[in-house]
Amino acid sequence: MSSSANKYSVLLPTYNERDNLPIIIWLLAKMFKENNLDYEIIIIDDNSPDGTLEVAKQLQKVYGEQHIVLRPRAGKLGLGTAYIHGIQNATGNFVIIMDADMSHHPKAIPEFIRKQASGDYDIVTGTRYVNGGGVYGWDLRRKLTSRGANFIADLLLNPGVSDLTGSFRLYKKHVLHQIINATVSKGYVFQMEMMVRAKQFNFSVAEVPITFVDRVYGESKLGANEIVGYLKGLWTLFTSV
Amino acid sequence: MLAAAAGLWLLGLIGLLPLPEVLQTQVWPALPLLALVSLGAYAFVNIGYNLLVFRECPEAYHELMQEISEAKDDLRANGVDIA
Repeated sequence: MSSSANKYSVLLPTYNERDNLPIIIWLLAKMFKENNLDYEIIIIDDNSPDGTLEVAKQLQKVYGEQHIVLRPRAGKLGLGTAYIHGIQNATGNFVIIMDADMSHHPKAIPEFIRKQASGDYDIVTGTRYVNGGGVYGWDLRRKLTSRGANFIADLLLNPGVSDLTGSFRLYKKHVLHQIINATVSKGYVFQMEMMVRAKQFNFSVAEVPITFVDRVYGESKLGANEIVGYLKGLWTLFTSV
Repeated sequence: MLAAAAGLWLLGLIGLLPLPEVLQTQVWPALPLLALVSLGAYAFVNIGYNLLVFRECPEAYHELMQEISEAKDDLRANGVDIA
């Protein structure tokens, strides 16, 4: 998997990730270097009050402008538009989407790349729910919610992916572009709708097991509001596709 | 599919399907309830099973903790402000 013509653009939307960002960048840069891969990391910061952008600028000095690309926005404008904004600036032929909070570990990316190459897949998605995958730091309630959410989504939409609410994925750039333009949901449903659209467009999807460590710094938010929002979004999606 | 099943059931209920008397009066009216209960049981078993086999990965957590402290040292040495 050494020197090929492929380039990987990582999209990292951030909001108040000052503690997490340096470490995730460090992990990404280390992994890309060890695997001899061409890469760029596009940081889309939504004007975080905690100074995420300042630390991003410091990281840019360390790793270079060819590897750390800053594309800040004026305010919290949502995940969907962050990805659109990110792809417009991406120069790689592959795009990797992940969370900046270290719950997604870059060590899975070489596996994604191997998997993608093995069958020329359009999308490779990380799954916590197959052998080799797993979660750390979830209580029973969180596990139940995740399992319930996946069950309902699977029943209503049958997208054929074992981990629908996960968001650690590798896309061919043009594939991501097409999917994102067709996606209308917000919040938790957004990631799921992308898989539903992928199926509609007949893109090929492969899965790779990932380990998921619940965020170490900062709070992971999953309250009643998120759950209600998810169910509403799911229903809208069910009745619209 | 759901709509087709509901339509078929309604037709049977109002007597437009050639159903045997017993089926028409005793079984047919209870079908939606039966479907609902079956779905509930399926959900219970499916979610319950998946909860039981839910895999934890403490080793990934410990590995990450080690990497975080390594990253912090390295980044500090490179002049990045780390809390």
